[in-house]
Amino acid sequence: MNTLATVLRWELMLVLIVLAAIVAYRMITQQINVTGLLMDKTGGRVISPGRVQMLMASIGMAAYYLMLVFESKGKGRLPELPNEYLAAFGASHGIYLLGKLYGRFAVPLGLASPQARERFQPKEPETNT
Amino acid sequence: MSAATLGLVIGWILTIFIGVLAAMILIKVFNGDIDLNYIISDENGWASLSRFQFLIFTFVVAMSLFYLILTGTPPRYPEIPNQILALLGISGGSYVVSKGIQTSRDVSMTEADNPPEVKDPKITNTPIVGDGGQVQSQNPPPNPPPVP
Repeated sequence: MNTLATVLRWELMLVLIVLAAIVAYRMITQQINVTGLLMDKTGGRVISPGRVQMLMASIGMAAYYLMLVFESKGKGRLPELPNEYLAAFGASHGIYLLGKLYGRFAVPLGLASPQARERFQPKEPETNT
Repeated sequence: MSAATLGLVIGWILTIFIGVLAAMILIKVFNGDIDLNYIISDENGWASLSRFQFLIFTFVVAMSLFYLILTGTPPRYPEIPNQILALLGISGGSYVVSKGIQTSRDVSMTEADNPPEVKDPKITNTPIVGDGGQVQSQNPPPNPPPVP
């Protein structure tokens, strides 16, 4: 029974690792579409600072958590994250979402850049005169 | 055959079945039969950061879980602290809110591009009550039946 459980655990772990490796490889070689990952789609700017900070926060938090997991080997419990890190992570996501909300409502509120305003300009309805 | 042996046989059958199934999926993903090209893209074809971070945290938490199960003595399902649930909640919530904003923006842009056409008012048979309480119809009355 012990052998069976060990085989099953390693099997599932291996599947996860191989799948993650395939996804990572395809992202690096751009076989998975990553076009515009950091681009601001509403404001006309090329790189959005809100997106950059969220990407850095996500990768940093993921790396830090993996490190905590390797340190807590054999404890039988997923390691706890310090509340400060969790708050920082939430704030990072909040900034990203506020930026996205701003992009959504900037045109109706008259705060958008000229390029963005042009994109949202409604077409003139065709009239039969 | 004792119950323990039967349980062991069923366990091995399930393990082999899951292994073969997982191998088939991985081979199909590797060959491109299962297309992952747009795994983090939104409906407009742009890569989405919220989908990307959701993918990262799904992998991180799943791997951490399996790693702790593998290294535990004796192996057992680890406890999940509230902070991790909050982490996944922030990640998933951010994805959902972002998708909501995106959809709302797309609908707004579609409406701006395709303004509603001005149509003639539709004629219906709904009676209209006049000022004097008389019932009027929008449609002209049908022709009276021929008198025999």
